[in-house]
Amino acid sequence: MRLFSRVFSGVLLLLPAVSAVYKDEAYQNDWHHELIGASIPSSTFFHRPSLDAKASLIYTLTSRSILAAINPRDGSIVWRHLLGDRASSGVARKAEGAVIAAVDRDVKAFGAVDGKLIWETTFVDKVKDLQVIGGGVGIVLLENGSVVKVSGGKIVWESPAADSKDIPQSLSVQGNNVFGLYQQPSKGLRIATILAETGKLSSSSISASIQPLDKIYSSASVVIWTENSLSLVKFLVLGAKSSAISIPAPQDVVDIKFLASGKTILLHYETKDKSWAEVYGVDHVKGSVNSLYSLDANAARSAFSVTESGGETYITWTLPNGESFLYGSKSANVLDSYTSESQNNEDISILSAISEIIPKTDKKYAIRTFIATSSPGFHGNTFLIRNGKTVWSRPESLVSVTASAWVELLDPASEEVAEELDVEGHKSVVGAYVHRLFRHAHELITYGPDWFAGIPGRVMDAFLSNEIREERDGKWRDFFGFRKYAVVATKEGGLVALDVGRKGAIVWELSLVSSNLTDQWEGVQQMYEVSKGTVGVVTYGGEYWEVDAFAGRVLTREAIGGRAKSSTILERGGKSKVIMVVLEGDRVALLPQGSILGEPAYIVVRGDAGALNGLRVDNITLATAKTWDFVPQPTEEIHSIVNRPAYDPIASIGKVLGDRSVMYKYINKNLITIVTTDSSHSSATIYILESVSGVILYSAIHAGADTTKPITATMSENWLVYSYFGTEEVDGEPGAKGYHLVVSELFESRWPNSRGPLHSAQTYSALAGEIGRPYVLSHSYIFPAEISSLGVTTTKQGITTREVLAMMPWSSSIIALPKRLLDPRRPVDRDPNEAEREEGLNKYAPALEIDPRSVINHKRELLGITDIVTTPAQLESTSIIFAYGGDLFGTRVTPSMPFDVLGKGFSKVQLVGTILALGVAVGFVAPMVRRKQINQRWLATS
Amino acid sequence: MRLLVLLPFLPVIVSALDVQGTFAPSPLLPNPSTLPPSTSLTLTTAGTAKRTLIRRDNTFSFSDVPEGSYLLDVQCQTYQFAPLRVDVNGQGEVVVHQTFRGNEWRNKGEKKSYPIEIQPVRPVDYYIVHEGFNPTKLLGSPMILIALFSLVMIFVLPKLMDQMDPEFKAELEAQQRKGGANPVANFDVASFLAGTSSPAAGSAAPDGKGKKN
Repeated sequence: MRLFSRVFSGVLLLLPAVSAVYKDEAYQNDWHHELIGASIPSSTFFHRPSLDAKASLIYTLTSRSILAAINPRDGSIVWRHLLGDRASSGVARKAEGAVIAAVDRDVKAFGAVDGKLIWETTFVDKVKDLQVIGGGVGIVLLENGSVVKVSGGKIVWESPAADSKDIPQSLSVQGNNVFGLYQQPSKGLRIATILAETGKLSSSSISASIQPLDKIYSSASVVIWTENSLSLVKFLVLGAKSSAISIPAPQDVVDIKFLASGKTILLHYETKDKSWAEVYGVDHVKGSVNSLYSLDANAARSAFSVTESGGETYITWTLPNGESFLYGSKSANVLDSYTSESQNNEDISILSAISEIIPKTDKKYAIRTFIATSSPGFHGNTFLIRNGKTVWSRPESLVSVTASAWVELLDPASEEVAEELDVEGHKSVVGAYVHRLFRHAHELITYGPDWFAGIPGRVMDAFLSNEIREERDGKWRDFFGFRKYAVVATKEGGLVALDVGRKGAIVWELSLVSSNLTDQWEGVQQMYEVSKGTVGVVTYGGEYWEVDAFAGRVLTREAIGGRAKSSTILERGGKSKVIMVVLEGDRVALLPQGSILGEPAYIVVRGDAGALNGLRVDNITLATAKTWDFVPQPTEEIHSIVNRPAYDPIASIGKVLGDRSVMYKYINKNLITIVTTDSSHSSATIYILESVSGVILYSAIHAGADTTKPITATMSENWLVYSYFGTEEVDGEPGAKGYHLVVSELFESRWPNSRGPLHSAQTYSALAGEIGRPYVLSHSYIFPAEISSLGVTTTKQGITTREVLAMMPWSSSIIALPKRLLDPRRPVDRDPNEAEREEGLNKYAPALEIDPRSVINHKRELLGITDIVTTPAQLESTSIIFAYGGDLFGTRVTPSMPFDVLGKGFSKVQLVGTILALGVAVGFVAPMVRRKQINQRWLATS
Repeated sequence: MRLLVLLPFLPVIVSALDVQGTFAPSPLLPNPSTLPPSTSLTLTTAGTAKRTLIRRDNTFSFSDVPEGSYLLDVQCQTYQFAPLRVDVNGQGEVVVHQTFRGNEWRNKGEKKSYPIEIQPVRPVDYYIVHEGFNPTKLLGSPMILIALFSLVMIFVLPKLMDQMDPEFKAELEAQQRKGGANPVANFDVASFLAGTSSPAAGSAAPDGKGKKN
C-alpha cells in the first residue's frame, strides 16, 4: 500500500496545476443545464420519498434512460442516474421509499430520498413490463414471456410463458393475482393468472379474440385495447368471469389514450382539431364497465391526468393554451378551473400530464401539474403549473443537440465607427481629416459628459474589485469577449441561441420545421457563422437557411437541389464566407446561391463503398473529379475522420529546445486523420493523410485494440491525440491493460535546426507531390478512464499552450490535460537532462493519473456529453468551452494561467495601502538620511 | 488471449460468477454511507465493460462475470480509489490483486482478500484557493528577513561603534580616512530603498504575487 501511494503521488506531482478551478470562481464562470430528456408518460409520477415525508417529489424515467427525481418546488434535480445506453423504452414504478426502474435487461431499485441503489437484477431477456406489489417486491414480464418475481434483488420464482409464440404485452396485479397479458399470433388475447405468493400458474385462458391490435393498456382492474385502426375500443375486466365489452370509437379519431386509477377509467380521444374524454367506472361484481360521463370537446393535443387524493378520484384536463380544468369522478361538473396569463404558441401539444391535488376547505383545491410538451423542433420541454401559473420550466428538448456554431458578438467600439471610417476612406486627405475632427468633436459632446461623470463610479468599482458593470448586453460583446452565443440545433429541428458567457441563458428559440412537416425532418447537417451575426444552416433534407443570430429571425431559406451529404466552409477573402455542400452523387453546390469559387477546391468525401475519396472541384463548372481514393483493408472499416479545427492559429512554426536549437513543426492545414477498425482481428489503425494529394504521411496499427469501446481522436497544430482500450501483447506476453492515450507530433525533420527536404523551397505544391515527409514522434500513456469525446482549447493567437479536453463518461466529467504533459519528447527511462528540464519536460511515466484539480466541471456531473467545442475569448489567455449532446455545460479555462488579466485575489486596496505605507516610511527616513549625510560631511572633516 | 476475446460470446459454456465487495470503513472514511449515490465501479477487459453503482448498504456486486482477468476501477466525486485486478477463474474462484497502472498485466501487486474490501486512497479536492494577503507569511519570507537584518545593521551598528573603545575607534577612523570608506557607515539608505533587494521591493512582493494569480 505504501509503495502504491508513493507511485501514485509521484505521478500526481508531475501534473502541473494549470487551468485549475479556483474555489472562489467555481460556479461563477461555469454553468450547467442538467437535462434528462422527454419523460415517458406512464413512468412519471408524484411520490412521497418516505412515508413520513411532508412533500412529494416528481420521479420520471425519460426516453434517454435517465431516472430522475425532480423537486417540484423549483424544478431542480434531486438525483438522477443514467440507466442505459440510449435505449428508448423503460418502465419506472413507485414503491415504498423506493423507485424501481427497468431499462433493457436490468431492473434496479433506488432509494427515493437519496437515489442510492438498493438492489439490481439482470435478466436473460429484455423487460417488457414491471409492476410493484407491497414491500418493494417487483413482478417483471420479460420479452420471452416469462413472469418473474424479484425481492431484494433475488429471484423468488419464475413462471415461463404458456406458449413461446405469444407476444407479451403487459402485466397487471390485483391483490394476490398477477395477470400476464399476451397477444397470440392467432389473434387471441391470453391472460395468464399467476399466484403472487407461489408463482403457480392458476389459469391460462384465451379470453378474447382480437382483430389486428393497435394499442393495449392494462390497469389493476381492466385491460383495454383498440382494434381495426382505432375504430373499436374493447374492455375486459380482469379477475371477473365475463367477456369483452366493445364500444365503437368516434369518427376521425387519430389517437386514443387510456388512463386509469382504481375503478375509474378515462378514454382520451384526439382528432385533428379536437380532444375530449369519456370517463368509465368498473363494476367488479358484474364484470362490466359503465359510462359515467363524457366531457365536451375542446382544443386538440391536450392532456388528462387521473389522480387519487384522500379517497377521491380527480381528473385534470390541461389544454395547450395553458387553461386547466378539474373534475371529480362522478360528474362532468367543473370543480375548479384555471386560466393562463401566458400566451402560448399555437403549435404546442401536451404530451403528458401528472397532477397532485390537495383539497382545501370551501371547495378550493391546490393543484400542481407537471406537464411535458412538444412543439415543432422542441420535444419534451417540461413545466410545472400550480393553480394555473407556470412555476418553473425545464428546457429538456435541448438534450438532443446535434450541431452547434459559435457566433461572435459585435464589438461596440469598432462597430459604431465602421461606417464613419468607410466614409473617411473615400474622401480626400483634407476632407477625411476634417471629417475626423468633426467626428471626434461630436463624440466628445455626445459621450464626453457621461464619461466624465462616470469616472468616480468606475474608479470605485475598480477599487473595490466589484464586478465590472456590463455597459451593454444583447448583441454587444463584453470587454474581455467572454460572452459569445452558441447557436445549437436539436435533433427535432429547433434552433436555440445560448449566451455562453451568461450561464447559458437562452436568448432566442426558433423552429426550422412547421407542425405539419415534422415527419419529413431529417436533421441539421452542419451550421456555420457565415458572416457577422448570421448563421447558415445546412440540413440533410437539402435546405439552406440563413438566420439572424442576434434576433433569431429567418433571413433566407432556399433549396440546395438535393440531399446534403457533407459540407464545409471556405474563406474566400473579404468578409463573407462560402459554404460548399456535397450532395448525393458527389455534386457540389455553393451557398449562399450565386457565390463563386475563386479557385479550384479540393475536398474529401466518404464514398459509398466505405472508401474515402479526394475530389477536385472545378472553380467554374463546379464539376468534381476524383483525385485519389483511400480504401481500407478488406476486414477494416473507417471508424472516424478527424481534421484540424477550422480556427487553429499557430503562434510559432518551431519548438525551441533547451539548447536554443529549433525543431520545426510540420504544419499543413490539409492534414486529416483516419481511424479504421478491424473487429475480426480487434485492431485499430491510425492514418494521417495529406488531403489534397491523398498521400499517407504516417500510420500506426494497434493490435489488441477493443473495437467495441470508444475510439476517439482530435488534432490541432502539428499533433494528434487519440484514445482506445488496448490489451496489446509485448513479446507474446499481455502488456498493460487499459485505456491508452497516444500523442503523435509531426516535425519537419528528425534533427533540430533542419527543415527537411523542402527547406530551400520558396513555395511548394501538394499537387506536385512536394509535401515532404514529416518525422513523427509518439508517446503512449495509460489513462485511467474511458474517453468518449476529445476537444482542444483554442485561443486568439495560439500563444497560450493548448489543453486536451477529454470527456470521461464513467465519472461524468471533463478533464483538461495540458499538452506539455503529453509531450512525445519526454525522455524515456532516464531523468531529463539540463536542456530538457529547461524545456519543462519530465521523465516519461507511462501512467497518467486524474488530478481532480484539472477536472473543469469540478463537482458538477455531466451526463451524455458527445461533443466539446471551444472558441477563443478576446484575452489571449482564455479559451471558452461549451459541451453538448446531453447536458449542456459551459466554462472558460486559462491553460497558461490568466497572465493577461488581474485575478479576483488582486486587492487594489492593498496595493494603494502599500504605496501609502511606503510613502510614510520614506517621509520618516528621508530627514534621517539627510542629517546623516550632512553629519558625515561636517563631522568627518572636523 | 484470443480465447478470452471469445469468452463473452459463449456464456452458456463458461461459468459466470458474481463479483462482490464492500466499501469498508477506514480512518480516512469512517462512514462510507457518505459517498455520493453516483459512486460507480467498472470492471473492464477487452470486449466487456460492466458498470455498477454503490448500494445503500455500501456493498457492490457485478452479476454474471465470465471467466477472465479484469481491471476494477472506482469513480467517485469525493474520494480517490486505487485500481484492482480481479481474476475470475474456471474453478469459480475470484482472486483480487493490487495493481499499478501502466505495468505489464502479469505483474501482480499485493494479493487482497475476497470479497473485495475497498478503501479510499485520498479525498478529492477540486479547487485551488486564491492566496490572499498574509502578514505572518510575509514576515517569514527570506527577502523580508534579509531586509530586516540590514535595517537592524544600519541603525544598531553605529550605536555599537559609539560604545567601543575610543582608541580602537580612532584607529578605525584613521583607517577609514586612509583607505576605502566603511561600507556600513557610508550606507546610503535612499539608494538602498530604491535597490532590488531592499525592504521596499520586499513589501511590494504580495502585489506581485497577486498579479500572477
